[in-house]
Amino acid sequence: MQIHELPNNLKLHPSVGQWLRFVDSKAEIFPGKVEIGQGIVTALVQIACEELGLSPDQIEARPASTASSPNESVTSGSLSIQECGFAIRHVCALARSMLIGSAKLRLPELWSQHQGKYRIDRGRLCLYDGTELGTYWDEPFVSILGAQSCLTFATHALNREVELRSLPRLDFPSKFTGKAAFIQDMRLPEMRYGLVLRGMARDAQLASVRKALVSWTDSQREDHLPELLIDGGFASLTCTSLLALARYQRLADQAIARALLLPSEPSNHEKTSNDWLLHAPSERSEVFRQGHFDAASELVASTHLSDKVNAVFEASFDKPWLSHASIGLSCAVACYHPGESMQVWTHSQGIFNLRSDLFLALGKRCALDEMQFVVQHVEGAGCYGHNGADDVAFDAARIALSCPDVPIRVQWTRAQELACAPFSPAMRVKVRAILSSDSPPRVKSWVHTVWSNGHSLRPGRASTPTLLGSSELADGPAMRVSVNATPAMGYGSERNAQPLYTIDKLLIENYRLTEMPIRSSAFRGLGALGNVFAIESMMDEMARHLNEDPLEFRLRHLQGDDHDRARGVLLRVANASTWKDRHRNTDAGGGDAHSNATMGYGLAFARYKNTGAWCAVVAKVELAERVKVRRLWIAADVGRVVNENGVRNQLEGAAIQSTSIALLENAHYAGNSHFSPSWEDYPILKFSDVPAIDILLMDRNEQPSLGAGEPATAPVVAAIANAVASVIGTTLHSLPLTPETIAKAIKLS
Amino acid sequence: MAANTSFHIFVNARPMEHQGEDSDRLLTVLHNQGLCASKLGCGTGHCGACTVWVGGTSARACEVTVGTLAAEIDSSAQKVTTLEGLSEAEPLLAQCLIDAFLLEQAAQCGYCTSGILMKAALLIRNHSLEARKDSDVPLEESQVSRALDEHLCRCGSHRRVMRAVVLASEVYSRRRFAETSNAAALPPSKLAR
Repeated sequence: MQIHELPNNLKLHPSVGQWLRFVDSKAEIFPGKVEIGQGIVTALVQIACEELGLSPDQIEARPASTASSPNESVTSGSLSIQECGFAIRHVCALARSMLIGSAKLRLPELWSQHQGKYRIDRGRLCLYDGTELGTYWDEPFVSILGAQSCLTFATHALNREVELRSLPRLDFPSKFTGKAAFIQDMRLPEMRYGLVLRGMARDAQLASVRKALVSWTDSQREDHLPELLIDGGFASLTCTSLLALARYQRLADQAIARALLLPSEPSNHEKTSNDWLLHAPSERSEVFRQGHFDAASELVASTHLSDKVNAVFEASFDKPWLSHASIGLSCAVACYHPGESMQVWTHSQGIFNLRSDLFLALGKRCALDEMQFVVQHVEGAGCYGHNGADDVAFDAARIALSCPDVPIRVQWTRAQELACAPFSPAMRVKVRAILSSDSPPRVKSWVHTVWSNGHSLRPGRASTPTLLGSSELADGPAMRVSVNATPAMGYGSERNAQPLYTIDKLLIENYRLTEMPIRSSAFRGLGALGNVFAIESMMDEMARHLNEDPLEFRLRHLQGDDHDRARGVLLRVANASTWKDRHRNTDAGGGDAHSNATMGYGLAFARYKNTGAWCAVVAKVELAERVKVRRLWIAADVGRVVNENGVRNQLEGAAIQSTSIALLENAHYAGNSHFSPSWEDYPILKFSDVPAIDILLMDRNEQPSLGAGEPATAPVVAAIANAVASVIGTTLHSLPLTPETIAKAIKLS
Repeated sequence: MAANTSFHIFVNARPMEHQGEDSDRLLTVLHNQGLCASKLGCGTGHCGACTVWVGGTSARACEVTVGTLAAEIDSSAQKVTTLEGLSEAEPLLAQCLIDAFLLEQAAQCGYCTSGILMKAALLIRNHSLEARKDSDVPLEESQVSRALDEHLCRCGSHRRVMRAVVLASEVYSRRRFAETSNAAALPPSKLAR
């Protein structure tokens, strides 16, 4: 594959030695992207094997650290294969071509005698007669390579000696036998264990809890009393053992529960719809405009209802607050060495960004410069966006500041995990679409308006820190209000707000709230979840009005060469799910026989960020007392597939998580509090409710690789909603698709 | 806090002494002793990440107190097995399960896997014990999903997990049947490598 443009991560880190070193019979790779459960380390090792002609046991991926890794910002946005994968592939290809080039130069006669026929066997460059010409570990090759610029073009090898279509996950053998694999398992000598006192809400009054804890610690007669630290609104206890920590945690939980006096019924402030978003202070931005809107009626609704006689369709769609709900609890370890360093071990997605904010928050207090903050990644449980990882790293560092030279481990509680980590923000999306009078009619105008908090509050991007605990300190800055990613990063609440369909007139506008009742930030798919739900629901509504097949209606708006890959996934998924015969299928592929009256099929499509992978989904649902998703067909075009099993695993995972989001998830919001601090309050999909899943990968080996972690997230939700809509005959306007939501939709229709 | 007491329990076929309180949770005790396979996910028994065996049944280590375990130290029903000890307690079963999970690549982050493996191991063992002696009928997926309903997985590896457990059950039944019937030659295993 010939490369025409090198990505920014290589330009910022232009020495091969920053990415690849040959040491002790091994090749060490230094990715800046991190393992968050998605299998990226295995895929990167596979890439290095393919290019270098080495076996997996000869490659070691070094854990990302601010002391030794390239700064690849945040592991997010389904970009790790695109960016880091490309960089690793490129430097490995370069190393390989330099090894061959140096042999040619040193031994020109031998080389030409054998007409340049060679192979690389476990890092040894050999002629076909077995003569060894050199290895990756030879001096001066190693030294020359380390200083070599990687800003030169190289032909990427792609499976020359090593055929690794799906290298099995390298981390699984340890995890399946119970060996220490996670940051939660990390133990250091003399380690102490901290707990941070927080209520269910950001500004919960914890004074009484602190008072109780002071009185407890004063009354204890133990040899090793926990240390109570109060710094403004930040309060923690540090114990010398896990056992002591667990005991004090139980006491603290009880005290917090008493202090908060949680109402047993939702209060008057409970939000039953997202109407409040329209009235909150916000700033408007025009995301995209195309065509001339010649009539006010194209832009502004005269009523709040669709006027289908004049082919005007208007509807609003709501997405609730969502929790990350990782099974693991956010955890970090920190150790402060006065005058030397602050060491932090974290499962953050962005170690350099975290370092920036830790320095902003604590640099003055500990008189260290930013480079003396050393942040190292250690794997945590599954991560689906900006969760509590960065916040708990601050908690550990703040406590460590008061306990010099002692490693401090902090792990959040389940209640903190569900109530204190940033949320995926609630969204309202209004669509006003008008059909043309052509035959057949086309969508001629589309106005898409989004109201939402921003979808990013990640650390390391502002002049003050965004870490939860930093705003609790006595001299801490106010918590910032979340913003949206730039267009180049694929937007935030506006992500996928622009339909990919060919429509003459388009206006996409966004209202970002300038106040933040609950801390919001990035969750898998960001705004695509709300926007694709709205777009695809509206496409189905118009198709239903025209009595046209939803697939044909979409295909009519995806004509031309630009849309080859979009049509490709739609046709593939339709074919696999026998979409055309769906009304005759009582058991299409599901192996079950149910009445057609309660079975429905729904279709949805999106290209992630409008620049990433293409994905089309067909959902088969059964509607009884509640919705049961029976089967999902997912066609994805992710370009060249690096690790097929890994891609399938990511798409399956997104499908199941999105089924959970579509059917169950809603972090209840009331005033300044969330009332979903346990698994009982925030249920997620169970094993017996998981649908059958068919993953259909397009064969695009000649195309650049695209990330597979997020493209299915939004289309799966939309396809399930459309499947339910096909049963009840009317569009669903809010998530999750509970019996109440469905009953409301039927009533409104 | 109450004064520390000495408790004697059995973990992975070895005696373990614990200095603490009778309300101390088994999960904390295991972690305190460096046995980290069982994971803390909620502390309230809802997610299953800390599932271990206590005697012949599965239990949530975050809920079991050390006092209850130590009270019946002589009873085999109170002996604890964690994932670290599964290969020793049930070598064939552990091997079938781990091989099947590797073959199916049945995880994403793997944080919930330890608890799921312990539950699945018990399910397969009990199914095998209940089956007729000449039977090698493996578990069905619906039995697996029902048994795992109290285990949460957020990454969405459910389908792979269910396939892996069914496969492990199939291989375990066949190999166990072959062993007990002294079959001269084993049928080629799906898992042969």
